[in-house]
Amino acid sequence: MIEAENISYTYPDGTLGFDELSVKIREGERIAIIGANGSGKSTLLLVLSGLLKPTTGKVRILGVNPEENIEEVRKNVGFLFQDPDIFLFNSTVFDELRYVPSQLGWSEEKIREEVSKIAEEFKISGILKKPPFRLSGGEKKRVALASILIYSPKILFLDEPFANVDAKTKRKIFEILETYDGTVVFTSHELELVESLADRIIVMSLEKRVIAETDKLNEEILRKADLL
Amino acid sequence: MHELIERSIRAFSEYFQNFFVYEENLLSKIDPRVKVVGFTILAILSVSTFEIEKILFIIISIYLLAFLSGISIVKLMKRSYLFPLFSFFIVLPTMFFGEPFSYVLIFSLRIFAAISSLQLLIISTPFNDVISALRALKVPEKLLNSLWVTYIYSYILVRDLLAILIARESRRVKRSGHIETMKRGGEALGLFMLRSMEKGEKVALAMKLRGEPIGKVKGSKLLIPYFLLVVVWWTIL
Amino acid sequence: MHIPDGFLDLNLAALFYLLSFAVLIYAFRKAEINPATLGVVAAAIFAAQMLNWPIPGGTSAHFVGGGLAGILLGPYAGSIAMSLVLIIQTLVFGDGGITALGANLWNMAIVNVFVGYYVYSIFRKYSEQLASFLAGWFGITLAATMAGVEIGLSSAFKYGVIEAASVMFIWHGVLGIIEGIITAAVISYISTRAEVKAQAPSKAALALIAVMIVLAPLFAYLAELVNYTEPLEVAAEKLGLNENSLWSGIFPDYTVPGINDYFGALITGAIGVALILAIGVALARANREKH
Repeated sequence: MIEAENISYTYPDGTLGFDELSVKIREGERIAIIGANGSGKSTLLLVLSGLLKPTTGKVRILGVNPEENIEEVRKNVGFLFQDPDIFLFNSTVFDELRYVPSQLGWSEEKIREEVSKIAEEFKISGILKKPPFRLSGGEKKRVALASILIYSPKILFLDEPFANVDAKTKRKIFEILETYDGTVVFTSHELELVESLADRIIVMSLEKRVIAETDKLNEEILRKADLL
Repeated sequence: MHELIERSIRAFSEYFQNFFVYEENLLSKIDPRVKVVGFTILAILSVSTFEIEKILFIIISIYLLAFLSGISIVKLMKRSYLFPLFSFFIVLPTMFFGEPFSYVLIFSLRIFAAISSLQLLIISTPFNDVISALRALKVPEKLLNSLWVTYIYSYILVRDLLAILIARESRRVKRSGHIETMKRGGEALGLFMLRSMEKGEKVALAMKLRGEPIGKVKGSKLLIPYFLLVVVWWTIL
Repeated sequence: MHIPDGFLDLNLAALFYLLSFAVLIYAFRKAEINPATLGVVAAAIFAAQMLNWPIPGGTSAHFVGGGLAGILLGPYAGSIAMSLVLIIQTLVFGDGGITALGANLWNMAIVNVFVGYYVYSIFRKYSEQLASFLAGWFGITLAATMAGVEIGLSSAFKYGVIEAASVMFIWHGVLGIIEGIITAAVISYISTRAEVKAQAPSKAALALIAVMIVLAPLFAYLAELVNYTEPLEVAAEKLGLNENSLWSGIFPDYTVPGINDYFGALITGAIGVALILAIGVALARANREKH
């Protein structure tokens, strides 16, 4: 599904995003990436999703090289950003939800149908006409997630989906990820949620390297990752 | 849009190289007032003559100073040659209209001299020192505060702008042409400007709480005789 | 469009310092905006200028943002924000010369911003989209043409004013379309979220600045007529400080006709270099010992 070989990323200002590493993700897997602040989790997520070009190495997503056919990759990939404010830009929640479907050429009828379905599920039906930037933090996150799930991407990338939301929204997001019919790659600081949700956990250290790939966290790993 | 991001990331990295060009050297301990005034005078002297010996004299004194201060001459040249070279090719065709080659050469050399002078100031002086010097030279305080904020925030906002563009790109599933990219990119830029204006108001509040950012000028004034001699000799030559 | 040092005659450079300062000092007094807010907005324009917009033909163009600044912040705060960007570009990146800073401020912080604002105010009653496109396009084109006039009038630059100004006009008239499209997109996006609210300044002041912009090329032409293209050299000559008088002072007997001038310069130069070397070494040593 995703194959990354010897990839690394260095930011324009010269700081290292993450050091050389290789990752293989299979279809239907739920992968968590954990690590202390500044260990390179978010950058790794951006590169694995094809949004940033790795400084060295190659990424293949669904067998496609993103440099050759970025649009094919985008259709099948959804990315939830940690800060919904940089992500939501349309003038109403409705426009936000239909943004990708209308690019995909869905009929107006189908768009309306799907929008009302997903709005129901995410409890945002009442705010469809509101501008997204006026919403609360939890609402913004739900709108952002709904606007991705509406086109059912095969791979979901989520950067800190559980951050800055109330307990109810957190549970809701957890449920969605647990039952999602597709591959899920996410970062999080909530270790309990990570352990119960992920099939595999990639642990990164402050040296911006992968120090473990495991399905069960233990004290030694957490200590090495500066999380204890 | 994808191309816009890739190309801009390259532009940003050049920018960051410039942003961090300052290095500790013997010149950095000199009073920034002396350097700001001195190097400005050298730049003025370079462009106020077409006499080759005067221009060469300025170039030699700039590079000599760099060498004696432990600044890499190659680095200084690398940062100074591009504009003069560009200018050289711009004025080269004047030879068809009867201008001698010496004009083309001297025109480019005086630009090289002036730019080298400014670049040496930049390499040897951190920007907060430049601001302290400008304050001592009676540039209004309010303007200097804005200038300082512009300087620090340009670094932060470049990252913010990049994040917004990437988030925007993440939901583009259709191929788009140049005009489409300009429109979508322009919208992302609109979001960025709004965020920045909001941020600006927050920063203004935070600054009121924390007070003035930049301190007093300091350092020795040892360079004054050097600049004086260059000026005098320029006039004599 | 940043004019480097060496393209402008010093008297022209000085004239534009004067013109720019006159307008900017007024704008600075009138702009009702906190310095920190202004600084952050300037930083945002700075970041926006670094974007590399792909254009047909495989190259790319940059957005300048003068028109945008005029529309978003009003001409006064807008011109100050653009000035901050230009000063940073000169003093931190060496982009644009220090002697040419006055002219660069005039072109990009004043002409671009004010003209953008005028055009936007005139056309916004027809369509906001069209008005902001024209503001971006016309602002940048006129700013570039002004730069062409300044360079063309300078005697240091041997092309004529017609050639220089028309090259800049045509080139930026084409590139300016991109500036216009982006400006329109930014403004139309922002107007979906907030009122585009520029303070409306007094008409008299705006008219006066417009007149200054229109007359600037004439001022420049007049300054050039004074013909003090190398004022420092003229001053040095007037003071009798040229090499010949000095030379005969030091070596009165030295009379080899023809070679005198050449060797004179060479030897004076060599002595000069030796002297600065001596002072430089002494300074470096003193400095090193101190720290």
